[in-house]
Amino acid sequence: MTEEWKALILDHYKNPRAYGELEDFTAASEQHNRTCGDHVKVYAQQGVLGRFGFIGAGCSLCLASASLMMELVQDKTKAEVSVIADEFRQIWENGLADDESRDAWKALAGLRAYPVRSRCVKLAWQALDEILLSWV
Amino acid sequence: MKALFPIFSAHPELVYLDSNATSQKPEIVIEAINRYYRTQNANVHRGIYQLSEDATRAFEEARINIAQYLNAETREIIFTRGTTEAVNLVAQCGGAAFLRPGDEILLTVAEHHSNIVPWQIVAERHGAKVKFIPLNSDRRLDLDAARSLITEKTRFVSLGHVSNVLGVIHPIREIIKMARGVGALTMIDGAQGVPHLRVDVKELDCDFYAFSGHKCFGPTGIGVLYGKKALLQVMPPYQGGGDMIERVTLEGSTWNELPSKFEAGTPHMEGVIGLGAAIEFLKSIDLEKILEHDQTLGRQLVHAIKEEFPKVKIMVEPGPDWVGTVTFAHESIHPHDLAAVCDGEGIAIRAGHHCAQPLMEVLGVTATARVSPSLYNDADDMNRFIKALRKAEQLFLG
Repeated sequence: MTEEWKALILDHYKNPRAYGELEDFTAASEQHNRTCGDHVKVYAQQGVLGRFGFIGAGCSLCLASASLMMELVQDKTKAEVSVIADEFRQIWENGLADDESRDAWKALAGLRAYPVRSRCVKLAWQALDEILLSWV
Repeated sequence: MKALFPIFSAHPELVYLDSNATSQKPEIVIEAINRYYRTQNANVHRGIYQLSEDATRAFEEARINIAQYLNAETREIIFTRGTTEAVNLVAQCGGAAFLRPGDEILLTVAEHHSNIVPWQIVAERHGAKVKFIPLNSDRRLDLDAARSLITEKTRFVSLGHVSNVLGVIHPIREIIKMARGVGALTMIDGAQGVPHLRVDVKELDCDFYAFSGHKCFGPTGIGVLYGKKALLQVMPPYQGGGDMIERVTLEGSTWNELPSKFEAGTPHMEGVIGLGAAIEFLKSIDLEKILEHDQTLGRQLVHAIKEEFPKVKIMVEPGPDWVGTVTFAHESIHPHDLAAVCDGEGIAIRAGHHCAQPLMEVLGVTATARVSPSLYNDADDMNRFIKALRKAEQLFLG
């Protein structure tokens, strides 16, 4: 992982975006990693456009991943959020497309260098999957 | 000592501080496995030809060697996949032979999952109850509580020789004595004991003692269960298959004598031979001096933490009953992040719950970082770790 992306991860860890419980949330999902005690709770207001927030405690990878996810999904439609959730799965399994230019994806893809911690990285995304299931 | 371990030639800059998870392997162990495959490989106990006889001799010599090292009889040494399988064997076969509804199985809160879960499973099967000896405020076993928990109802007492998380040497002699007083059977999980301490099963007078090859400089996938022969003889077999039978008919089978009764199938031959070499290695070193060396390194780190890192909380104070393991939590840095920064500096430490979630609960943390020194570490390794700790604080707190 390059220093540039390490710095971005550290920045998201120290200054997480959309951190905090969402008022008027319509769905929430809490996920735990019992091997290290990490936990993340993602809140969503499932309107025409989705509003998101999260709280949690965990390592830098876990919280930075949640924060980067917030940047990607904030104010997107359900269809757009679904595409983003699929994109994450795709990138996590197969790596980044050669022409990818978005910083958040580049930083997240960099975390593939730490396979032991994949559960930490995926925690927020698992919460997002659950929220998508109840979004009509 | 590093010169005896080829991994440090392959990675000259490596600082390996995770020996409680697995030890590095000395040349003589690697060489014994290599030699076995190059010159001795044949199935043991079967072939009526020279090569098989040579392999069988090497295999059984390793058993004799291990038995002598533990002061046991050769037929009391059962080869298993590791400590975990040995505990499962005693819980299942010993449970079937000795457990009655209402019996109690006594463990400690500091146990590794592998010395908790097998007992929970058999307790449910036999209507027995699992109880736990708590820790004192100094994180040593509460012997007063043990005294009142060990009663006529207690059938098994099973505990670690040394805690994998805290590095504390449990007072197993006292516990074994108490158990013997009420007629309970004792099982010692020696996974962290054999790498640090000389073990004499007769002197300890435990009923069962288990350890893993890979934690005491031997190969993975091989472990040893010592059991008193009178008990092993009345226990049912663990698994069915070749080697463990005396006679098989379509109507039923009879069991081979000890130790074969508990060793179904072609055994882990190179593992046993490699473990034999590891025991030779243990015999060639002065374990008491090594223990002192590991304690000195642990103390060096504890001292540095107290001097320089007020945000770091150490889980147990060093003492003579301690093998040098330093487990700690940082107030503001997650153990995963700490381990990742160390990794960036070429230092391997463990982070997580160390397969001891109940103990983590007792300690009031979800996860910790653990530094477990061994004979190939030196003061310089500890200094490099301390430097990495400084770097982690700069990175995450700066």
